[in-house]
Amino acid sequence: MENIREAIERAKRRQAPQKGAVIEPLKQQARLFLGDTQASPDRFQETELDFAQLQSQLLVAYDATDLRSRPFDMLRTEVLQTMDSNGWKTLAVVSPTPNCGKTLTAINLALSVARQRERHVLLVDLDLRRPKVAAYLGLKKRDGVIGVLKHRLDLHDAIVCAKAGDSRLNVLPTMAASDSSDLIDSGEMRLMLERVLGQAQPQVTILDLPPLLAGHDAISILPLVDCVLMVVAVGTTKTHEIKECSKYLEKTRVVRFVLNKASESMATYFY
Amino acid sequence: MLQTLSPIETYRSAELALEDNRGDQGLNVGHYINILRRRIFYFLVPFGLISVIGLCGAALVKPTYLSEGKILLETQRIAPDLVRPVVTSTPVERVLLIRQRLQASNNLLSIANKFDLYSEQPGIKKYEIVDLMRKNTRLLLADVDAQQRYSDTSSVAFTVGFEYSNPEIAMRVTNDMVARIIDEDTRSRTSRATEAVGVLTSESKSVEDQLEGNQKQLLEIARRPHDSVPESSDKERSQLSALASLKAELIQKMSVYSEAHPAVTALKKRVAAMEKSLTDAPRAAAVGVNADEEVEALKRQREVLEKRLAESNAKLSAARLGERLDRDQQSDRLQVIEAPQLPQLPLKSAKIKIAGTGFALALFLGLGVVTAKEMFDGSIRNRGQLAGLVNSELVVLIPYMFSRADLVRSRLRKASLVLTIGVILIAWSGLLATILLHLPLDFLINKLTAIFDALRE
Repeated sequence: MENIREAIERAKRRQAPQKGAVIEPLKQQARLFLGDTQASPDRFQETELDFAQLQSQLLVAYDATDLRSRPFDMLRTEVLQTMDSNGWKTLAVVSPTPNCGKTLTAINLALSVARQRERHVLLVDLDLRRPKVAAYLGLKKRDGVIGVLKHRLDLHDAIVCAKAGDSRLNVLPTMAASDSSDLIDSGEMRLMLERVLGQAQPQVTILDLPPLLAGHDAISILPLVDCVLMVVAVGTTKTHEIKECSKYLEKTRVVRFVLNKASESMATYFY
Repeated sequence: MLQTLSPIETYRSAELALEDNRGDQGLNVGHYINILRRRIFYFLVPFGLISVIGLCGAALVKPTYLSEGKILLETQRIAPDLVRPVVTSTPVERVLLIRQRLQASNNLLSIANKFDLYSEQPGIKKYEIVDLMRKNTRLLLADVDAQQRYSDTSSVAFTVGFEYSNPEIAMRVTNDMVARIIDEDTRSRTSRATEAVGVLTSESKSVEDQLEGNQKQLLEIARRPHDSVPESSDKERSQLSALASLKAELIQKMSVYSEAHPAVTALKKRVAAMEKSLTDAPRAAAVGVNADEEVEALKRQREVLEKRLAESNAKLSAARLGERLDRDQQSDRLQVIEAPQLPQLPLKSAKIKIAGTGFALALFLGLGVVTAKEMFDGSIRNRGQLAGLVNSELVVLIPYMFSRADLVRSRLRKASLVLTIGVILIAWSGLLATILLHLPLDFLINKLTAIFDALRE
């Protein structure tokens, strides 16, 4: 906000006589960037997800009859209860290292929440180095977050409403960017997040972040979210990695720890 | 620990409690079984490899054959009170002595040379041959009966054995060793008996000679004419009697002591001095008196000598009897009760040892590799490992979801597992058959390489 205001002041000072001619484009730019506040969020671009594609990527939580979606339903219940009781709206999904199944868990959780019609879910892919959400869901390549940050795209146009079975999931994907760390730290990112997270709707926003120990991208975002879901995997995560992450997570609120890829004998009973 | 949240009382808390309890007892064994199942290949490959190598070694080791003979050492049948035996050591000591003699270097070397042993090893030194032979020669006491250990007078049996790669040579060498033992014993015993007889015979002879000399002297004195004794003064008579007693003493001393003895020489001097002083006196009287005293002395000497002769003769007859006992084999003797046979089957012990060591090593190596891999892996395996790091109430388990690729991979893994186990079992059975049926493995290998060479051309 500050940057824009400053920019506007400067422009005003610089080109005081051409008041009208200057402010309009700036306003337009602001509108472009910040999006039309009057537009209803329900009118996002819609697309149907292919079940075969979802199954092949182990995305199962859109189907209530699939036994494999039960654990995600339980996770959803617990997470939503905690978030509701504390008034939290945003959840970041992190893991210490790659290959923990963090993106998969995030998408499945989002699909599970999306089955509840009264909730609006927005899934944002903030792994700007290796974005996978669009690929897993089978969405066409879009600029997404990068486009919004670089003022190429309106936020409203970047969000896609994905439908699969009973789930209606809003997705803000992204494409890869080489200067991801700069973008993450930039003010544009902060602004976008504030815009996204500040919706008045009963919306749950799930952010898929890059691995904690792979770079500082995730660490920069953490202070901006309400709570964190930490995903570790059996056979992939090592104890010392968890210990290293703990110092980053001390200042955040961890809502749950997910032990992914657990063996059958440790799974819960199915009723 | 990470920041904790207020715990949510959901149905999951009960499940958590249940799982933790189950985990405490069951997880330990299940944990290790799980590790073994995951790392089965890390175990099977080293285990299979080393065990197969061990079995190959057992199959390839050159078979050795042991030929054994048994010798019985019986104590003498006639009671030792009647006839004293010449050899008086306990039977166990005798067996040890026999072993020492058998394993003497020159003895072993002469056996090795006689049968051309270990000649296939070029440049083998003499002390190496002796060492090898000592290692392969066995002379052990066999328990004839349980009481044998506590009584020295019963029989003792011992086995003599030799181990060699050629069964026929082993048998011949063992026979040779047995023959040597028997001959040596007979020879040593006979020579001792004869020695005793020889010493005692010469002793008797010398005593007899002395007796003869004594007898001659007596006869001489008796032959001398007995002259009348003239009147002589008292002084002369006392001097004469003193001289006679001196002479008698001298004779007595000479029968015991030799000529050079100081007592004898002193006495001689005194006698000579006395005789000189009595040269005026009629010699005949002195001689007459002397003759009586001399006869007495000689008679006493004869008694002593006769006694000595009797003793010596007694000893001699005992020694002669002992010698006869040996000759007639009535004393302690060695008897072969089992002649060394031609061994039909090679010794199993070496093969078993090698195979057993191979298996043990294989097991340790396999487990070691698995342990090392687990230690270096260090990843999380179950929720228990999260317990110290995070608030366990916040942990949610999501099971592994199998994709098609996973199914394919697991089928492949199962197939390779079956294949590996199959290969190992085939190798084991093949090698075990080779070992048990005593097929010559090196012969087979040579034949196979010859076939391969022929095929290549």
